[in-house]
Amino acid sequence: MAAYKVNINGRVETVEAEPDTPLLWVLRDKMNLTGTKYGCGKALCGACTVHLNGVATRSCVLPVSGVGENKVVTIEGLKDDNATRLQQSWIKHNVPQCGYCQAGQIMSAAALLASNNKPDDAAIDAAMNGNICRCGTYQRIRAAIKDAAAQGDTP
Amino acid sequence: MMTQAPFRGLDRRDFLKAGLAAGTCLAVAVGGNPVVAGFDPTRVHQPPAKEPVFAPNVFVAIDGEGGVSLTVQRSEMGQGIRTSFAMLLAEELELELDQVKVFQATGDAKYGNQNTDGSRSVRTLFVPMRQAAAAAREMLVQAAANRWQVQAQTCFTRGGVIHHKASKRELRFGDVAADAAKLPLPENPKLKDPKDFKLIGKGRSGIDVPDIIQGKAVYGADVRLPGMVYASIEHVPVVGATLTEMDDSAARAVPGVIDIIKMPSATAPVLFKPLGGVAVIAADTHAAFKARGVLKLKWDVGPNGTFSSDAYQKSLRETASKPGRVVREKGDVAAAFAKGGKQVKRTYYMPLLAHASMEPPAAVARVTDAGCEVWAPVQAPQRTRQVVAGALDLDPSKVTVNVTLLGGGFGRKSKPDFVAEAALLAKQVGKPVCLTWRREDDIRHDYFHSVSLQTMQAALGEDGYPTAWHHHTVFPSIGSTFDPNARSGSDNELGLGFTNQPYAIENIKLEVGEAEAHVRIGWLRAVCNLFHAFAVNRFLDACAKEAGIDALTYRLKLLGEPRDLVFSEADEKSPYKLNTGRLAHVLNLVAEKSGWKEKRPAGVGFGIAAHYSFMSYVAQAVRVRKLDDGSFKVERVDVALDCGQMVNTDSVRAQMEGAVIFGLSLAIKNEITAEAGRVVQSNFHDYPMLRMSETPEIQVHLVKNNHLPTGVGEPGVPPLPPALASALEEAGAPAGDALPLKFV
Ligand code: FES
Ligand code: FES
Repeated sequence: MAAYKVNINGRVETVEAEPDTPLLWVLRDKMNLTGTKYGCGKALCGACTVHLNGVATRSCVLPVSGVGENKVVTIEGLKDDNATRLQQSWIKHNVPQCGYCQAGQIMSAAALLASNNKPDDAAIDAAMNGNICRCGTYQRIRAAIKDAAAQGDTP
Repeated sequence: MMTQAPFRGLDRRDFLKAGLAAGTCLAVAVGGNPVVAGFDPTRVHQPPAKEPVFAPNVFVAIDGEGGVSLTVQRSEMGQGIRTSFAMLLAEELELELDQVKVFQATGDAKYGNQNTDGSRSVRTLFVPMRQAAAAAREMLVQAAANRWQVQAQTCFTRGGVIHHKASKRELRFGDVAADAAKLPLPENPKLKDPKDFKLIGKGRSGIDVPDIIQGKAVYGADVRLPGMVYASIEHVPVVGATLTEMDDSAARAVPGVIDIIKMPSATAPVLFKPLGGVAVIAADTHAAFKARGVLKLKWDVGPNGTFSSDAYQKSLRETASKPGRVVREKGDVAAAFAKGGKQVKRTYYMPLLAHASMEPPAAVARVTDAGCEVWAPVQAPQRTRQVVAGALDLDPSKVTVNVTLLGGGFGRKSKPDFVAEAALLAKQVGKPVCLTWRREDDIRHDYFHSVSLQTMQAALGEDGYPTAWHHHTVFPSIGSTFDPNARSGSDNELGLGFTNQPYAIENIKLEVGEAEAHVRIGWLRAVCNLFHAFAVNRFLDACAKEAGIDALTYRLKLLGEPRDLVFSEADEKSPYKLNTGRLAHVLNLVAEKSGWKEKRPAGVGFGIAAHYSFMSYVAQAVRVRKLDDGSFKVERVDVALDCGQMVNTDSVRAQMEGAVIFGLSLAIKNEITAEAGRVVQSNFHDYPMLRMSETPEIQVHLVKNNHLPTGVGEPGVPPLPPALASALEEAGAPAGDALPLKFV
C-alpha cells in the first residue's frame, strides 16, 4: 500500500491504495463515492466515467498512481452551470430508466458541452458512443443534451 | 367501462390486520442500522419524517402533520413502478405527486405478491393500490365530517386539505389522521371515475430521477456498512463442475486479500442456489478481482462439459425434423399438404442470450446473532428472503431483504443466487460483505434466455393465403432450472406466442420437441415470445412474399373479423382475451404513422410485425437504408401499443423506446455460444450492445382507451427482430432467419 494525494471534487484527500488500483475502486470502496458505477472494468461501457481535468475519463482503467495532481470530478461533485442545465434537462426529458448508466452519461455529456456548446448529432454520437445504456435511453439523452445546449444560449 | 379486479394477494382479513399493526410494520420497513456517517443505505426507502398516526393498510401512512407516504412493494428497475404507484395513490388521495413520499418495502408476505415480473405490476395492482389509497381518503374525509358533524358526501379533499363546501371550513390530513385511525375500514372504498382522473393517464418524470442524476441513488453494491469487506467469486466454469485442485498461494499474497473461501458446486436442480466456485474476500473490490486472476484451479467439468453450440444446434434441428408433442391441432395438416400447390418451408434459429443488465449482480449482506440483513437489487424480495434463509439455515423471519434500486433486471434479478452468495460469505467471514459480479461473471454464468430452433411449413391456397400451418418449436425449458427432467416447454412457455398464435388458418398443427439444458435457463424480457414472434412474423412474411401480397394486408386478412380468441380453459375465465381487432388496430396505426403504404425509395426497406404478449398489443414498422458501402442503417422504428388504461404515459413511451433498443441489440448483436461447456463471450467487446450512433429515430404511438391495464415492460421487444429482418431483406440483405443478423 502507498499513500496517494488525490484532488477529488475540489478537495485534496489522502488515500491508502495499491498503485494499480483503478480510480473507480478507490472512489467506491475507499471514499464511499458510489455514484460512479462499475459496468465492465475494461473501458467498454462508460458507467465509470469521471472528469480528469474536465476530460471524460474511464475510471475503471485509470490506476490511482496515474491520477497525480489532475483534478478529478465525479457525479457527486459535478456542479457547474453546464451540469445544472444538463440535470434539469434530464428531468424534463425523463431520461433515466434504471439509472445505473446515467452518472456516466451525464459526465460524458458535461465534458462534451464544456468543449462544444452547440454539439450536432455527429458530435453527440462521438462523445456519447462509449456510454452504453442497456435500458435504451439514447434518444432521450440526445434530446436532453440538445436542450441543455440550447438553454446555455439564452442569457 | 373499466371492470374492477378483486383485491388479490392480500385478503380482507390480512388487509385489516395489516392496518392495525401498521405502526410496527412501518418500523420494520424503515429500520436501518448504523452506517458510516453521511451515507444512508436506506435512502432508497425515504422513510417518512414522522411516525405515522394513521396507516389503514401496509401501503399508505399519514403522519401527524399530514405527510403522506407510500410503501411500494414492487421493485424498481427502470420501468417506473415507484412513480406509477405514487401516481395511483396521489390520484385517489387527491394529492399532487410531489406530496407523496415513497419508500420501498422489504421482502415480506404481508405485502402480497412482490414478484416484479411478467409485466404485471400495474395490471394486477391498478385497482388494489387505488383501493388502498381510497380507503385512506374515505376515512380521513369521514373523520373531518364527524368533527364538523356534517355528511361526508358534502366534503371533498384536495392537496392534503379536506373542505366542507357549504361552510368553507377546512382541516388538514394531519388534523384528522388520529381520528381517522379509529374509524372502521370501509368495506368498498369508492374509486374515482376514470373521467375525473387528473394524474392517471398523464406523463410524469420519474420520482427517482433527481437522485439518479446526482449519483445519490442506491443500487446493490452501493451500500456501505462499518467493517465491510469486498468479495468476488470465481465461479465454476460449467454448471455442475467440481473443483479438484486449488493453489491459492499467489492469490493470498495479493495485497488486501483477507480470505479465500471454497463454495460448493450447485447440484441439479440448480434452482436459485449459489453456483459454486472460489470466493476471494478482500479490502476492496479490485483486490478481490485481482486475486481471482492468480488463483490456480483445476476442475472436473462434469457432464455439461460436452456442451458446444454448433453441435447443439444440429441436435435441435434433428429433433425438429421428427414428430414432437402436439399441443394444438385443428383440421388435417397432412391432408392439406398432400393436395400439392405452393408450399413454404423455413427454419428459424435464435441463440442463447444473456441479460447483461447494466448493473451486474451485486449484493451487500450482514449476518449477526440476530439474523441476516441484505441489501440487494432483486425482482423477487420474498423469494430472496426464502433463499437466503435456506442457505443460512435460518427462519425467514430472521432475514431482512432491503430492496435497492435495480440497475436493470430484465428477469436476471428474479433469481437471488447472488444474494445467497453474499449472505453465505458474510456469515463465513463474520463481517458485512459487498459482493460484486464482474461483467465476465454476469455474461458467462447467467440464467440464459433459451436457445431455440423452429421449423415451419405452410401450404398456400389459390388466393395465396395459408390453408395449412405446421410449426414445430424446440428449446430447453426454464423448467430445467427447477427439475432436471423437464425436457420440453411448459404450457406457460408455449402460451407465449406459440399456442396462442392468432391467425385464422383452416389446418393447424403445433408441435414441441424435447431439448436438454446444459446451462441455467431463465426468464429474459418477453421470454419465449421473443423467438415465437420472430418465427411467426418472419414466416408470415415469407408466405406473403411467395403469394405476392403486401405484408400488412396479409396479416389483416388472417386476423379476420374483430373477435376474442380463446385457446385454453384459463382463457375462457380470463378477463383478458386476445382480441384480433385490437391487434389489427395497432397494425393499421403503425402502418399509417410510418408511411407503410407510401412508395419506398430505392435502397430503403420496410418491415412490419405485430405480436400480442402480456395481454398487450404491439406492432412495429422498421425502416432501413442500404448505404453506399453495402452496410445497412436502421433509420426509423415506429411502435404502436395498446396496453389498455395507462398510468404514466411517459414511462410507457420510455419502455417502448427501450424495448426497441433492446430488440435491436438482440437482433443484430447478441449471441451466447458455448464450447466444451464454457461460454465463449465475456464482456461488451464480444457481447456488444447498441450504442448512441446506431440508434434510429423512434416514434411511439399509444392507443388511448379504457380497457383493463395490461403489460408494458416486455411486449415492446418481440416484434422488433422480425420487422427488422424483413426490412433488411426488402433493402437487399440476405433473408435473415437466424439471429443475430450479422450483416447490419
Ligand atoms: S466500467 Fe469503466 S467503462 Fe465500463
Ligand atoms: S438507464 Fe438503465 S442502463 Fe441506462
